[in-house]
Amino acid sequence: MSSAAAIPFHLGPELGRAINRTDFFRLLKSAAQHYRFDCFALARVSEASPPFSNREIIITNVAERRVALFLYGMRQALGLLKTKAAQFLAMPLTGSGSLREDYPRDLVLNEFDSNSFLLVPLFTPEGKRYCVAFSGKRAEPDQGEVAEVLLDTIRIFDKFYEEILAHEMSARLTQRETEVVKWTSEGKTSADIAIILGLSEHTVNSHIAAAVRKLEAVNRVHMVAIALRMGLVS
Amino acid sequence: MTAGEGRRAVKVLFVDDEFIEFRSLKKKLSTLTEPPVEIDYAQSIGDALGKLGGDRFDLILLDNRLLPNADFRETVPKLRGSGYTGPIGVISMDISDGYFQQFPDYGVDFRIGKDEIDADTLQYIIREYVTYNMPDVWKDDYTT
Repeated sequence: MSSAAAIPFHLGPELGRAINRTDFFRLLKSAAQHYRFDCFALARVSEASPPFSNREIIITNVAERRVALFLYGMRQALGLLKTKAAQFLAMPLTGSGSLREDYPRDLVLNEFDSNSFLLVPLFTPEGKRYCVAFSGKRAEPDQGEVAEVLLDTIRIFDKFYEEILAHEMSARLTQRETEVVKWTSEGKTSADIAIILGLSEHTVNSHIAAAVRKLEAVNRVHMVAIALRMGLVS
Repeated sequence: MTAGEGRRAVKVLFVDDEFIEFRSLKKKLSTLTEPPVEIDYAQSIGDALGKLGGDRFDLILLDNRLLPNADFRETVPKLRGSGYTGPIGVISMDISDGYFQQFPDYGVDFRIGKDEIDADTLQYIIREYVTYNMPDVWKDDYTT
């Protein structure tokens, strides 16, 4: 019998293969399920409203219309003071909602009120702060389980940094981004470029967004002007 | 493209040579109500190309291996060649083969295991690839 069967999906070969946001959604969802949580949210830690608000969420399996309830439930369970405190810089936080389990379901206004939450702090090598919040209808994890979740989450986040965040922070355009900037400078729309390059409009727009950010432009026209000035396109 | 559009039904084309897989997918997604989703079925790439010619789809979920023995490296360029610029996700029982790492080069937006698809995951896929909001400044500045 191979011992490979015992390795959870999120720590197996798929971790090494992950290259886009959907791959990381799959890994985080698997990690959440492995530890019997129903929901997760990877987010930037907010300076304005710690730990994070709707706008800082990067990847989550919480439905769009339920995110506000999720955030409210999390703050209630963990305590606003704790999530703002300096200790959250280094230590995971756990907590549970105050709603009793036998509370009539049809009277529950926020389904997350009876959930337990675990907030895992994460850092990039540049010191930027992120976190993953897990939530589920289960007991609060004990210290040992918190340590396991922390290690698994750090492994997934390290790969996320390597594949996604490091590229976002790089100032250098990739070959695809340069191609998209070149076609934009020829007056092509995203739909035109998608047909020319055999990609989706979503992918083309992602490349444009990345190029706009890397060139510190304010819009497409500005992006093309900067690229021409820098000699990136002729 | 459907970026930023409202709450009309999201149209998904599921391409798989096994009809039973379509029924299984529909059953798994029966709990998904937000957003409303309409799923259509095509049994082959030829069938899919025919449907793309007559209707508009927001998302294609494509089985990796279609008869006789074509994988996404052959099938996706055919779909893209027809002018389809919406998102394409490749699904398979096994996505561990090395060539799957090349999926972005062939116009594929994401890959996912068949057993990983559920209402939760499709909801995420729609949010990520279909109803995503793009800042106005990134949109085509010169279109009317």
